[in-house]
Amino acid sequence: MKSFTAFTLTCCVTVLVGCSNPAPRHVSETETGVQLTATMPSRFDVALTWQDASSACAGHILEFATEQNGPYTPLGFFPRGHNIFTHPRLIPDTTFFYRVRPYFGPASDPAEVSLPPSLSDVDYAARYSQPEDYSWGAPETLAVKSPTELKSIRDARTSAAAAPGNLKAVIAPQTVSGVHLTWIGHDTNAEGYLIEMKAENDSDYQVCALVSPKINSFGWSLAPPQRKASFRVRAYYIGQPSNLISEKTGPESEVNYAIH
Amino acid sequence: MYCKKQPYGYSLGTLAIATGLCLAAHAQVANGPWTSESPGYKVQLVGSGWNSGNQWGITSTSTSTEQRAERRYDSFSTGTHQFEGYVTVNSLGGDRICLKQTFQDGTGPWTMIAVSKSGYLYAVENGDHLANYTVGSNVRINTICYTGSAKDAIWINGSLIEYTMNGTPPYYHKFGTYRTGSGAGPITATWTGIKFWYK
Repeated sequence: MKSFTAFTLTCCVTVLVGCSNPAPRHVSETETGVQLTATMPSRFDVALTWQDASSACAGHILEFATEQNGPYTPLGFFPRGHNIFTHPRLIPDTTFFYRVRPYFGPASDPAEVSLPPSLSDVDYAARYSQPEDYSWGAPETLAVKSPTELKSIRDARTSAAAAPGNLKAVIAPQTVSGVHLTWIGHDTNAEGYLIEMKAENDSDYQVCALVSPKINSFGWSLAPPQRKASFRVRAYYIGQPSNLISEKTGPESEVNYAIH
Repeated sequence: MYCKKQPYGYSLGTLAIATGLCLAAHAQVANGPWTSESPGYKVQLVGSGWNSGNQWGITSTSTSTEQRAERRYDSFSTGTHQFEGYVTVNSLGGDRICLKQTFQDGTGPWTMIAVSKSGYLYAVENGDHLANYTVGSNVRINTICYTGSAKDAIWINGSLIEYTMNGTPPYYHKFGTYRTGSGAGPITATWTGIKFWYK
């Protein structure tokens, strides 16, 4: 690793050289296992790819900002194995900064839910469009009858035992497709829980919500045409970010993106 | 203009050097020159709507009564006006809650960006799906109201999504939490980084 002084000098030189370039694109080095790269298929789209040498993470959070110091905003939570994303129709004449952060932690066993076959697609769509009592869906901490032994999710020896347990997914009776999820936390040190859903035709679980530590009740609503899904709850923590990368978009006079 | 190789996580001293030489803030979208502005506002709390600092919410589950907690900014009729904000829906025990509006003062709703119980952002007036959203994470919203052409651009996370057309001035910006006609609380949302520009 370079010394601070050497690194600072290197940066100063890079700054001065870089400033003479009207449209620079730089990729920084990284000391983490995640490497992020980017290309621009057009002057207003950025295609991002990341590689992670670690086999331990559960997925990655891709984030962007338009100032180097942030705030950084997630563009998506991607399960392990998914490593591409295109950020489309971007702000003209702007530098975008990107980074990827891995997330770790054990997931519960899946719980399946499906809508009754007697519910027609037409009725499903009609009822979904109407207001319904969804107040049970707010994240809550329910009392657990018997205390459970808590383990660290950051220790390989205990991580599996720290996975959320007893996950239950039921259609809330007052709704057409509201799924009430309850579970029991077994961890001492999660940053929170990721609610992951795999709908009938999805190839993998997708993160649909983040909730705080100690939460063990949450509601999620299937949307037509979804009729069947599998859910997991993951106790998670976030690892070190990848290299930081930047791309500069073209001028507004050249914008040609279509509006859907 | 950003023009420096900067490994994430290195010292603030190094960062300061880079920043001082050639990093300029460029948060707003679309070409300027933009001028920052600070329009006046009033907080509107109706029904169970509440506001505490950056947090906004509705506690009622009513599907029929007016429920809102919003910051309503001063109206404008000329020029181009941009809003930027970051919102996190911390808790959603409701559905179809509007988070950001560009309102036609004296005429009615125009651009309404709302969150669904199925975790996506949509345009209330035409039902368009605007973006997927992970409840509990933050999302960046920019809107630009072009009074000259009577249109309002919606940008989500730096991407242009669509325009709302045929507006009638004057207009004003609102953000917070507002139960739409087919929606219901409760909801808690955090708004940060609110900025305005005009040109």
